[in-house]
Amino acid sequence: MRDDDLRGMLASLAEGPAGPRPTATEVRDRATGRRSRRLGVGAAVAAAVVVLVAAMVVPQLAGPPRVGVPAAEPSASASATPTPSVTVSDPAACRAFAEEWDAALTSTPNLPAGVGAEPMVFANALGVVVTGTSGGRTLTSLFADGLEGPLTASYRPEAGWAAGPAARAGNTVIFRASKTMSAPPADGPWRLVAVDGPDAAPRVVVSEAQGSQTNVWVLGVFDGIVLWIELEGTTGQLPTPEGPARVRVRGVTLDGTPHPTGIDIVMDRFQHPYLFIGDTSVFLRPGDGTSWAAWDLQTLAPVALPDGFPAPSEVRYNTPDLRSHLIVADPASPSGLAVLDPTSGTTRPIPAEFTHGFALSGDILLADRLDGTIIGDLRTGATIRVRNQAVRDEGTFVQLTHGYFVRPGQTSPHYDPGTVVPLDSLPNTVPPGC
Amino acid sequence: MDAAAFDAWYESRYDALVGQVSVMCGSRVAASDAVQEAFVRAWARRVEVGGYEHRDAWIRTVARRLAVSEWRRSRRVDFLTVDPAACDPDPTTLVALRRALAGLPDNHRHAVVLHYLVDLPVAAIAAELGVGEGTVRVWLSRGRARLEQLLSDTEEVPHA
Repeated sequence: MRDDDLRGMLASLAEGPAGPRPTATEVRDRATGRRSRRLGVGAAVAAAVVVLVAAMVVPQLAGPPRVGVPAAEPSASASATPTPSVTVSDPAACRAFAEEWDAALTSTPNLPAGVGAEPMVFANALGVVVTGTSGGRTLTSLFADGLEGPLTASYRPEAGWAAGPAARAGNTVIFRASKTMSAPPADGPWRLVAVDGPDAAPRVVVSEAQGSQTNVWVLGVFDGIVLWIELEGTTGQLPTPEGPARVRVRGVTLDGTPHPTGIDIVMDRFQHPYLFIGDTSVFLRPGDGTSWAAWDLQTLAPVALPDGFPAPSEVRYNTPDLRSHLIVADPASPSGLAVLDPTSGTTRPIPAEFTHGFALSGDILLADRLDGTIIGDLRTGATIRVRNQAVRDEGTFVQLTHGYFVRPGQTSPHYDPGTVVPLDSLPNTVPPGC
Repeated sequence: MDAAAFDAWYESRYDALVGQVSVMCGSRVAASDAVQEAFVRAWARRVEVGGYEHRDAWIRTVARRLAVSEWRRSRRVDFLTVDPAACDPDPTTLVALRRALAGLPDNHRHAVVLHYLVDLPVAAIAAELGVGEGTVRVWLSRGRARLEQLLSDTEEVPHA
């Protein structure tokens, strides 16, 4: 099939009656009506911030220091807490809330000298990360104690590499870089990426394994141990933290999460939820219908399902973000669903509002709905609904267009391109009824 | 963005956006609802959206997410209940194409539609989908190959 044929067929498929539609005036009226109901008089600034309905304040937000503090271990037996009834706040409280956030969003960060041109600033569990262009290369710097504090670490990848943000793996800082290669590199030692800054000892390196054509291979290595991996390629090997054992992969995309005994890997995360569980020797992939089949990673041959794995018919959902958990049927849960840890066999009920469109990372559940995204904390049962927000789970934080939903045990830095505002002193949820 | 500019934008782009999103999500009804809702949100944020250089990309992204969300909720029923009579000019081929598109992962299908229907270059697709250009190339390559395979399978084993 030629490109033109495909274009023509798609164009034909796209053609056709669009059906009845409102006039532009009716569309504007709908938007205006919603806004006035949602915000109340005089609170226009809140439309650019966050609109949260039926919110529960996550009580852990103002807790421990943020640098290098892992999230608290989840309680396997925690049950969902019903969403409280909404009480309407005083209009002045809503207005004050909106104005406070608006002022924060429009403030200009005081960036340290030397971060490069057109810096991109964000915050995560490590602190504030600044990425800018310096000398034709991208420089990424980390400020663990905020922009006013000292530079913790920075790195400048070799020319041709694209720099990514810093990320946390346990108590380790990992920088990311990637490169698209036109041909596989010759065998030999992996290339190292230069590390600058006060933490310039060869502790953090980014190495290239192999690639071809449009494939991208990236490895994050710390003290010779692979802690982070992203592969889009054909064939390769990666060392595991346990020792010299190597895992061979073919034609897959891997997204690995380190833990003390191995790497949990979601394979081909943009395809279907191929799922590694327990160790890195067996992965699962969808079989017929809702069933699952286990495959040996080395031989790529089917094997028996691991002990403790739920009956295939019980598995209802899986998502690329599901990591080592599954969503299974659970009549005792308010939603009829529960998150199951196949390794421990423990389950956690899912709040009633979460019935479709799951994404799960750690204790945070996301569900897409036409009337907004619901964010749930499986540990406490708290839920918030976010409207008119682009939502992305970044591991430690659920990033919103204008802020973060912060995991339990973390503080709440705020992200907006070009702006960094510590939100510790700001309210994290809209007052009920605003 | 004032009302006149918004109205002109809505009138000029609505049908095309519904067509594009319908191919992405598999349902013209869901696409229509999603595009309407996206325009509602655009007006609610008109000051911000009016300053965007690529407003069509923004509204297509919003509509796509809304439609995909609804499509997941409906469990892809629309993909399986295509009315051949509604497809013109070649119902058999287009139904097969629609079924083949349903067989693609979301990201691959969105990349294919944005490239071959909306005619966006790889860089623009990467920006709209929030991924790297290399990833988009992989999605396009895999999506295209899978599409051809699925269409080939359809030709070999015609539907009853």
